[in-house]
Amino acid sequence: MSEQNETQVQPSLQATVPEIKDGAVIVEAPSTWRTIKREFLKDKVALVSAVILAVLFLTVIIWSFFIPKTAVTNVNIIDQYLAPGTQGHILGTDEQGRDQLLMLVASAKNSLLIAFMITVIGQVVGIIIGLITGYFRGVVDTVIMRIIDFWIVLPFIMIIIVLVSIVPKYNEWTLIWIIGLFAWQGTTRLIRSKVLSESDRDYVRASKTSGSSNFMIMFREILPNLASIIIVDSTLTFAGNIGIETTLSFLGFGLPNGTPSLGTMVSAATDPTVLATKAYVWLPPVIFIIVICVGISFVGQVFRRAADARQRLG
Amino acid sequence: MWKTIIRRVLIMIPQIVILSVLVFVLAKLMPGDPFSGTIGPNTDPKQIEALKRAAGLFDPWYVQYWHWIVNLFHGNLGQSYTLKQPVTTVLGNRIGNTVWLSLLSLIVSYAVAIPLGMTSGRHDGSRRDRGIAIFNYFTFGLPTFVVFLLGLYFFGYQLNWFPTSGTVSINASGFFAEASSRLYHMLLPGALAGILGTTSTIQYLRSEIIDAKSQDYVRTARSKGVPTSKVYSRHIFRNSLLPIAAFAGFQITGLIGGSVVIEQVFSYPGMGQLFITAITSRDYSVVTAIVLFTGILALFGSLLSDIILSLVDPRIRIE
Repeated sequence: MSEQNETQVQPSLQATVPEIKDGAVIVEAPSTWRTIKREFLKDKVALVSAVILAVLFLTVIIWSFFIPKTAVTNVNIIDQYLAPGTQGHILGTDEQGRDQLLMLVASAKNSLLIAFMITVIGQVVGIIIGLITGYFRGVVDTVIMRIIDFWIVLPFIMIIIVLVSIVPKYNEWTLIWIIGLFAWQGTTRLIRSKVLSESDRDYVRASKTSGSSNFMIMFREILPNLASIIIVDSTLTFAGNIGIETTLSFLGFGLPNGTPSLGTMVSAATDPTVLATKAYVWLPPVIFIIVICVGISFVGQVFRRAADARQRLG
Repeated sequence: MWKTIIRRVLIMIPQIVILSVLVFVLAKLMPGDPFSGTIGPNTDPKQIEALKRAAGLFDPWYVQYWHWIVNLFHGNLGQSYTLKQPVTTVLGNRIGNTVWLSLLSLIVSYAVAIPLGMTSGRHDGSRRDRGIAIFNYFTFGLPTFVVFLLGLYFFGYQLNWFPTSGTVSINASGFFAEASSRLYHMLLPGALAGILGTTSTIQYLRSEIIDAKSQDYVRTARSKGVPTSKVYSRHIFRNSLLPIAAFAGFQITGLIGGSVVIEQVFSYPGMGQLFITAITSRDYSVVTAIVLFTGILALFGSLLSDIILSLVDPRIRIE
C-alpha cells in the first residue's frame, strides 16, 4: 500500500521502480515450489501421473469412509466369481462373493496407509541416524555404517516373513514395525552422505564458532537444507514400501485376515484356473498397483530434478 | 592390494558370527521343538522331557548356541519335520534349481542392460535416452510379483509360449532333451527377473559413459582419428565395464533373495518355494537353514563385489 502511495506521489520514480524490481526478481532464487511447478510443466508425463495419483488417492481415501465393514467381511459363496457387470457388481465379485470394486477401494486404502506409515518410520529413523553419523563422524559413524552395510545385504524378505510368522498377537502395527526394521538403512546412507558435505560448509562453521549447540546445528540449520532431498527420498521409498507390503500380502505374510490388501487381492491369481480364466479377479488390483508405483516414480523424478539444479529441464 | 582384501575378509568373520546369532535367536523364537512331531496320544510326557533334556533344550542359551554351531560345521542342520529327511538333503535337492535360475537371470540382465546403458550414455538427452529412462522407471518402480504374474498370464497362459510351472517336463529323456527342457522352463522367469534387474546397471553405465566422454583419453583417441563407434565400443566400454562387473556380487545376492517371489509365482521348485512351503507347514529347521544359507551367500556376494571393486578402483585400497 505504502509503495503504491509513494509512486503516486512521485511520478518521476515510476520509470525506475519496475527496473529495480526486475533486477531483484532475477537475483532472487526461485522458490522450491515454483521450481517444482516449472519442472511439472516441462514434463507432461509426470504432470499427467500427478493428476491421476491425486484423483486416485482422494477417491480411495474419501470413498473408503463410506464402505461398510460388512462389505469386506461378508462371505456369500453363491455370488462367487461373478463376471463384471452382473447384479450391479461393476468389477464382479471375488472368491467369497464380495464386490470387487469395494474390495479394491478398501484394500488400496489399507495398502497406501501401511506404506505411508512405514515411510514415516523409515524417514524419521533414517534422518536422525544419518544426521548423527554424518555430523559427529568418528567411531559412532564407523560402527553404525558397518551395521548398515551388514543389514542391507541380508535377505530381508525372508527375515520379514520369519518374523511375521513367529510374532505373537500379529496385527497391522506389528507388520509396520517389522517392515520398518528394514526401511531406514537407505535413507540413513543418503542423509549421512549429504550431512558429511554439508557440515564442512561455512554456515555450519560460523554457527559452531558462535556457540550454537550441536543439536541446534543439526536440526535447525543442516536439516532444512536437506528438505528437498528428503522429499525425493520419501516419495521414492513410499513407492518401494507399497511394493514390499503388497509383495508380502501376495505371498500370504502381509496384512492379517480381515484387513484386505492389494497384495491379498492379487494372490487370488496363485490359483492357476483363476489366473488363466478369470483375469477380472486379479487384473484390477494389478493395474492399480502398476499405476500407483509408476506414477509415484515419475513424480519422484520431477522432485529429484527440482532438487538438483544440474538435472533441471526448465 | 592384499591388505585391502585381507581386511575385507576379516570383516566378514564378525558378520558371519552376528548372522549366525541372529538366525539362532530367530530359530529359538520359533514355536515347537524337534520332538513335537513325534508326540502321539500314548507318549509319556516324562519321556518327552527326558528326550528334550538329552537334546540340551534346557541348557543355557550359550551352550545351546555352541552345540548348534558345532552341528553346523558337521553339516548337521537337523531333520525336516514334514519331509522326514535331513535338512541338508532337502536343501541340496533345491539349491541347484535356484542357482541355475539366478545365473540365467544374471546373463539376461547384463545382455539387456549393457546395450541399453551404452546407448543412453552415448546419446544422453536424446529420444532414445528418454525412452530408456522410462523403461527404467518401470523396472524400478514395479513390484516384481506384478510383472511375473502378467508375464505368466500373457506368455504362459494366453500365448502358450512357455510352460507355466515346474523345472522339467516328464517325458524329457536323455541328457540333451532334459537340459533343453530345463532351460525352456527357466526361460520366462529368468528373462523377466533379468529384465527387472537391469535398473541399477543401466543407470550406472549411463553415468559412467557420460563421465568418460569428457576424459582426456577419449579426446586423445578421437584426435588420433579413431572412429567414434570404436571409441565407444573399445575405449569407453572397457573402462566402464569393470565397476559394473564388481556389482555382480550384489546382483547375485538380490536374485537369490528375490527367488521367494519368482519361484512362488512360477511354481518353480527352488529354495524360495521351499522356504514358503516350510514356513507355512511350520517346518522350522528347514526355514532356519535357508535363512542362514541365504544370509551367508549374501555376505559372500558383497565380499566378492568389494574385492573386485578394490581390484578395479585403486582409490579404495589401503596401502
